Amino acid sequence: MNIEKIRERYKDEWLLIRITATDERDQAIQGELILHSKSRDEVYEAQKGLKGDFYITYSGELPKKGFAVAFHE
Amino acid sequence: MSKTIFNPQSPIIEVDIILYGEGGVKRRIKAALDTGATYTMIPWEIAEALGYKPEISKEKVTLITASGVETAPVIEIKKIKFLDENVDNVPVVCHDLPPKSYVVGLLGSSFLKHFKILIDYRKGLLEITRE
Repeated sequence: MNIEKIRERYKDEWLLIRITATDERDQAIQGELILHSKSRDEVYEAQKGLKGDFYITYSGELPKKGFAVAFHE
Repeated sequence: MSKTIFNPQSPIIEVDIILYGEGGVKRRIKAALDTGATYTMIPWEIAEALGYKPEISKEKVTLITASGVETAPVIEIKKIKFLDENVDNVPVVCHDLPPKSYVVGLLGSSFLKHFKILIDYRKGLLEITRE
């Protein structure tokens, strides 16, 4: 399935997608949804031990309205 | 030169990057492009899935976070790709961002320093060039 269609279907969730097709720039275009979850940690856990090419992303608004972002490290 | 568009109304510039691990394992993650970050940052769990061992890394950094001061390991990722550009042997900090940041990692200076970077907020255009 098209990656963007997966993102649209599972809005506001964390997604784990096995990549099945890429374009000439190696950008992911098709994939198989392995897991969708409201829990990021569940998705992180599920990808452990999986060999191959996987995409981990959040399908919602970045970030939610009313939040500001500051990264410190 | 590689270029992409971004949403200039978004409070962060989100980008897709590809992390390469051992034995052909790849993880594609959504990251925030952060020119103010010294290091690229990825979660510990993803580093391990790629075949790296953050727990035995000798290099550490001190992070000042909302919850206090923490120490995090630095590992060397064999290759990171962003758009059409690759960098080999990139130092990366293993640390989780808060869940509400809604990105998996940060693309920081340990990758970005290899490029000339143009960020045009008026057009929502990002260009990176290796020179």
